[in-house]
Amino acid sequence: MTRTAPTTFERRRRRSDSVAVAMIKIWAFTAIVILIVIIGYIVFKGMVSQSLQESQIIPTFSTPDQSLVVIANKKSGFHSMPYDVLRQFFDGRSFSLRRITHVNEDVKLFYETGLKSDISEYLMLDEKSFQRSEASQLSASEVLKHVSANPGGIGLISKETALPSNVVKLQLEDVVLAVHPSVTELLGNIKLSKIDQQAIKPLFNGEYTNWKELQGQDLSIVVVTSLSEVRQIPGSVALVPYREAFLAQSERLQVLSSQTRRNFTLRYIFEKPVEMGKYGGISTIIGNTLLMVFVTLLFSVPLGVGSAVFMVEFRANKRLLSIARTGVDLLAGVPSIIFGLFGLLVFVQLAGWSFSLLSGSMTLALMVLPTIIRTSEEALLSVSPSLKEASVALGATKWETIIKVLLPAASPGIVTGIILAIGRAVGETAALIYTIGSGVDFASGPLSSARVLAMHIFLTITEGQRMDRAFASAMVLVFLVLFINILARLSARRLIRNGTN
Amino acid sequence: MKKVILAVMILTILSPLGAAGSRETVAQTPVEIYTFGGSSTVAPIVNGALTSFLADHKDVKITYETLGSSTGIKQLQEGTLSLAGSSRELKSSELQAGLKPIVIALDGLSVAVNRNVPIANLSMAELAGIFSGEIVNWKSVGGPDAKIEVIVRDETSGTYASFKEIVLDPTKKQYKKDAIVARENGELATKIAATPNAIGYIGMAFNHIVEEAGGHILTIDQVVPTSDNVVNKSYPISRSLYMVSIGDLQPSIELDFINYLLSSRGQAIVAENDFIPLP
Amino acid sequence: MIQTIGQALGRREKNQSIRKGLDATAAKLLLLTALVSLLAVVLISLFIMAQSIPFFSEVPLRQFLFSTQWAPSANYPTYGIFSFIVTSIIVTLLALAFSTPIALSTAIYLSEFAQGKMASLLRQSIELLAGIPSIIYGLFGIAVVVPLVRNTLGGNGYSLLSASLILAIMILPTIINVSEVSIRAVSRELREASVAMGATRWQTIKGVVLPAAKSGIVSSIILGIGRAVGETTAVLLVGGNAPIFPTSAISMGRTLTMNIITDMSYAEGTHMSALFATGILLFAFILVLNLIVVSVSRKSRLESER
Repeated sequence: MTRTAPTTFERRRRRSDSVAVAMIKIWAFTAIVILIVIIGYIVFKGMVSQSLQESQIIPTFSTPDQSLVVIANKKSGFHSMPYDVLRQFFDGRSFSLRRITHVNEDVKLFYETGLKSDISEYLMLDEKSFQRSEASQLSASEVLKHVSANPGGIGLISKETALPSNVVKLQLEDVVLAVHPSVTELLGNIKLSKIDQQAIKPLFNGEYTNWKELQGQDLSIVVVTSLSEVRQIPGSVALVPYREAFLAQSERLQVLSSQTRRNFTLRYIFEKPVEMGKYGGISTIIGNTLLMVFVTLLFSVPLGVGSAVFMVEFRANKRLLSIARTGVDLLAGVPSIIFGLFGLLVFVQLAGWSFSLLSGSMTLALMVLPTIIRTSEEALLSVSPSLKEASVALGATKWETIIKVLLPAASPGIVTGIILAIGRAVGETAALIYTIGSGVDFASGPLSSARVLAMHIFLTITEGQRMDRAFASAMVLVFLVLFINILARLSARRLIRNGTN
Repeated sequence: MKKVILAVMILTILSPLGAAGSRETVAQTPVEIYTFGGSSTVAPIVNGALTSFLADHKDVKITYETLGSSTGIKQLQEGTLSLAGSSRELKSSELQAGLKPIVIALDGLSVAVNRNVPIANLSMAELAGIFSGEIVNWKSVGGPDAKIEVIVRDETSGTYASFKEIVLDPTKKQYKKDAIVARENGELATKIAATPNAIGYIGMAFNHIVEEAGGHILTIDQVVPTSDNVVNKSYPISRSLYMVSIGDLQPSIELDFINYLLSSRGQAIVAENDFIPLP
Repeated sequence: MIQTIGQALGRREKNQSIRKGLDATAAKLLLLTALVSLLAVVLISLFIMAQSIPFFSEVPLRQFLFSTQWAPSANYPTYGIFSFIVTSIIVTLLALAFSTPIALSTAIYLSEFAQGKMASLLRQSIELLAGIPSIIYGLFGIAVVVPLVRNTLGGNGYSLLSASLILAIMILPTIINVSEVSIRAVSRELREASVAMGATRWQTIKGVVLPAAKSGIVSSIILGIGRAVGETTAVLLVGGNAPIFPTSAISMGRTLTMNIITDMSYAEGTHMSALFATGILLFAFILVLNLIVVSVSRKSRLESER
């Protein structure tokens, strides 16, 4: 057939064809894009945390000519030292870092000999404060040594020197925004009390002229430079050292700032949870997850593989076979919340096992049963009949054939199915929420309440704990699922390789 | 190998069948397991107290499941829990069924708003109007022109019931239907902080969650929600927190725990968690 | 004990009767295990039905299914789940609308244009998507989807739309897998005949392959519906959970599953039976879906064998 030049019709057809094909390709790769976005986001938020903070002390602002140098152990989690926090510690009012840097340690305070009077004056303390806070007076080099040795160590020295590698110098932030009382007055349900950190520079540059623009009253902004002016001029604001403002009992505005920090650390996996998971790590929770998987498999694998063997080997009774198969199909379609409902009523209440590892695992075992049965059945069916015939020819009974020949031959497929079931179990929440309980300790027996990883993420979100922790745990769960996924793929590959032998 | 697995499996199946009921000792381990549960408001107190209580009672393991007041009471009746925490009063039907409430602390309910809401104070009447849906825009109470997003607890919550009793019932109002529902104090606090124009109520002890997330707490009738103002009754929205048992408690771990909660150490834990110790 | 029997079995010259006996017991044991699955389904169904029967004798079916008043704790309790049914339907339909184009394109791409590395990368991504737990989707939903909906469409972000977007991603693997299998199964002769008649690739796909794979694609969509309707955790976190009748895609809502999980721990008496009745409704609905899938695939198998 001779080739002629393409007609317009031809060209149009080919163009619409390539457009259609291009559309298909674009749509198809959206799946990959979605996956990357989801996993990428979880990992990003797991590694990096952004938190909002509100305080009187303005971050990054310090008065000049400070006589004290603040140093701290890196493990304490401080990146700067606000005046009010330092005072809290040295006044003996607070000992734990938990609420402040979310590190589960207590502070240990040290200061250089000769600085006591400076500290008392600067931080407005008296002798009782020093006794309460148990701060230790040492030589400068000793201070360095002790701060380095204590994860919660904080020290005050007189001048900057070379520091050990795990100790940092912190900027001592001690400036506040003092305002005239008219600015923070309650008028018609409105009362200005805070300002965004980003708004401070524009405020002092004159870009804002009225407090209304900052969610306050209709009042002109007057930028001044001293505390005495602030006290006299309505609408005025100044940057003032905290001490001055505090002593004069001047009105102050809170500052809202956001901080970006490292979120997930390897410690997280190995530390135990503290205060029901509010602080600390997730070591016992991971342990509970593994335990739950083990118990679930303990019940579901023998039952599942046994059912599959039956359905494959004893097919004589056709009716029974089809009933069994319908049963499996039905079970596979039941939503997880129904399993949860069933588990709550039967295992938790009726059997009296309460919220426990056993209740949760039994519920999950029922849920993953169809998966195991189906994959095992497929694996068993794919074993070549000649293998079975050879075994029978050698005089083995049915049972022996099953145990010594069939199961080993089908094991890669069965194992793949088990791995898939593990993946499902690890990610389940709805069926476990009212069966497995929420105790954070490592389960001491099958009847103790055991929080697992997916549940922990759910509880972290709903209990209003910091979202950073939810993301860190989520990152761990995602990696766990990825790992299980890779295992399953390797196992399936081994199956194919064995099959071709 | 497979035979060993089979044998182990049979043993494991048989063992828990002999341990029906959460109070009996699990085979071959000496630790007794108890489960308490209920209000999420009471949870921080109980968990704090359990940490020190269990340090002195090494042969016992107690967990507190955060389920919500009504759930806790129901599971107490079902026998799944042996003590329940409640942040609301017991209904007459529950009292008739023999449940006994024991007051362990006082609590105030704070009202919080998202940080984009410049309002700092509301009156009780305005509060009732907002939560019943009569007031729908912030401008009606002196704020910007924006729809008010109301966030409430779910029905199982004692906080839900207490708030209704104190704020809505006196004016015979009902909760509005289209409010966002949060299942726990913490979730409510996070939702308030994350949803622009939102308003919601939480137990006072959870104030810091809202504030850490950027929201702020309102004064009601110009009174600040603090422990002192709750005790001297100037802050209008306050309530008692309870532990509930079935009937009067006989000498048992439950009774020991209640006594611990009511002791000075227990009440110190109450104060540490920003609740109000019994006067 | 079992090990000694095994050793005895090794000596085939003796103990033939023991071996035969073991064989018989083994058969019975396996029968037992097989019946356990069946038993589980029967028990679950019976249990749910038994728990919901008292409800149906107290509350008329019409009120249950068609009333929008869900007020189990009011002084005169009402148990109307119509709002939840409508929410579930809207959320599922929207999820299908978002997910089907992507799923079908992916299935077509994998079976028609797949080439080595790209194809296997795509397949692995889909497998991975299928394995991600629903709580992770929920977390992503709260952190990304809800603010997105809030900032672009207004409202507070917790909405039917947010829920359906998340569900759409979750049911992608389901639809892709089954569709791909049936598209692949379309016989080569059919395709070659189409090309021989001068059709372009797209025309072949649109006019020949897709219609031939129609029953498989429909099955996959139905399976997707089943999965979407049964999802609880992810929608709970982004749907707003307000028990109201949804008036738009950005209004909050509560699906049937959300209702069960929110109330189930504290409900009692008629309220609890109402939840079980809801459970039966879900159960029955998914059952019907599965039966449709089975009969559709059986019909197509019979047809292709002709």
